[in-house]
Amino acid sequence: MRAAGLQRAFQQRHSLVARRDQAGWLFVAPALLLLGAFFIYPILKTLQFSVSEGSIIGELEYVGADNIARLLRDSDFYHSLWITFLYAAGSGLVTISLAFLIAFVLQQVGSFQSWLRSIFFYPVVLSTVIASVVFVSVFNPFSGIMRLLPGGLGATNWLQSSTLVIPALIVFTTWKGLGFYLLIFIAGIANINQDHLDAAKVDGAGGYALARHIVIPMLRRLFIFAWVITIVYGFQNFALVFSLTRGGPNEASRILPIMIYEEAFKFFNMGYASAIAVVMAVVMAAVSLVAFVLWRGDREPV
Amino acid sequence: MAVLFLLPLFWWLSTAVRSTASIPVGLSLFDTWWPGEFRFFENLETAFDLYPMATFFVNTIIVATVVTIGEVVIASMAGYGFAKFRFLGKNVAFAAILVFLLVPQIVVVVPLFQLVASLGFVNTYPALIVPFLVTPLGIFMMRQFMLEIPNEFQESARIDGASEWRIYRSVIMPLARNGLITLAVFTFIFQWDALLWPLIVSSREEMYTLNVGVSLLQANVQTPYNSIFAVTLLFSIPVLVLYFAVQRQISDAVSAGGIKT
Repeated sequence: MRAAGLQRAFQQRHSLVARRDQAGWLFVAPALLLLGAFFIYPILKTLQFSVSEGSIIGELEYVGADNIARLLRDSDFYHSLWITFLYAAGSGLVTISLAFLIAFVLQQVGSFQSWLRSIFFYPVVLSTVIASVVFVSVFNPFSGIMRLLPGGLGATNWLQSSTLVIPALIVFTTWKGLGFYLLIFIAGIANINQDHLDAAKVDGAGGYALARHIVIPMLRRLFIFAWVITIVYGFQNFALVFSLTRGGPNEASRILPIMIYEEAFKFFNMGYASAIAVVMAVVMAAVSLVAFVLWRGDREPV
Repeated sequence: MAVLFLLPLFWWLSTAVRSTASIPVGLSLFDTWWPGEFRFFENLETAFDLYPMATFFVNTIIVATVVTIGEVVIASMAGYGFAKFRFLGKNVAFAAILVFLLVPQIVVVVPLFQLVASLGFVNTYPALIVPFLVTPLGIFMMRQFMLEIPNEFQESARIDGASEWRIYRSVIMPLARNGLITLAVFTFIFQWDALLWPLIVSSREEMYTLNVGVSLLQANVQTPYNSIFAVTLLFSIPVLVLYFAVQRQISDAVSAGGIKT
């Protein structure tokens, strides 16, 4: 009797587990099917394209490492890689420093927080293209805001100058994205044990010492996290650069995504475009990996 | 700093209400900032007369809404499956999704265009919608969110004899409400911001999204800027309202994401 009861209970439990396993698969199946068709398949195709030559409809011809070899000899590619790096690192640096500074000051001051947060965050929700229309006119040296700057900076159109176009993009990127990082830093600072801060204040630490010796070291991981996002985001920010400058003037702001877009959809070099895309993905993966190692290494002492 | 962040907004507002003639070369500071006239509605009219702005806007709203619904439903199901079930291949599938998080869109765009073209989707809504019905980021967010729901809810419903689908629909979905709203808002804003893909798959004007339309107008020297300012201002009101409506949730979600690192 007892054994039979146990066995029944076991069977029941077993079938429940089986039912659960099956249900788990059914819940993830729609997502996996869609990702398979519209994400995994294209990734594999990109790899195939990168060693082939051909237009978007015609036959593909296997060319092996030709595309990569061409890439390594292409000065346009190095130019774009450098510009992309400059833009991503520059906007990361400016955005993160300012976001931290503002978060730190907001935390010390304490009043008007939610108002100020909204002022810094509203650009994040606007469409980049729409915001770029406003910024193109802001940079207009005859009627825009920038003409109020002193000397040559006000008299030049930043968007037409090959030296000032990257700074212009950094200004726009910072304005557009800062609010997001500000929220992260506000939360990070609020999360620091108040006792540490109070102890430091009792010891006579001013705002600068507090930030330099307590807050920044304690937020190290958060800084790494923010760096990765800004770099990864900057590397692929087609919409922002395309709508503000279209890669100009004279390719001075032609970041890799714009180069890929033009190779693929303007010159129809599918193979070459895919090869650039693969190299770009590898570079980005390497950057993320380095950051991940730093981030992991940081975990031990805590 | 806060003032600097507001300057472009003032610029936008003041330009949107000017008549065409007074835009260029305002000499004094006061002239620059104070429009001294209110021609907002005339400017709107000009924009609507010159370009099918309403079509662009409606297209954007349709695409963003359908994608958002798809993402919320499909990603929450997948997130639930990954968070609360054990099944063969689960860890491999989830690890793959984490890797895909890092793959930039530009990398898949060429074959994706070919695929969508072979399905006959070019210049249709499905081209803009179907590839984005679910994203790795959405699945990842939902899984993290579902992990925080205690197992007891699921188990007690199961003992009461509820079907797995019913448990998801009537027990889990209501519990995950905040997560779903956050995902919905992020998805909508991403779609609202999308440029690269719509630019590639829409070549006929009636299929342009707002971003594609505005981006092409921008390239045209003849475009009356004050009208474009007026019409983009009008169309930006919905997302700004949406943002203020769910401001709390966005702040909480972004903050939580940062702290967990």
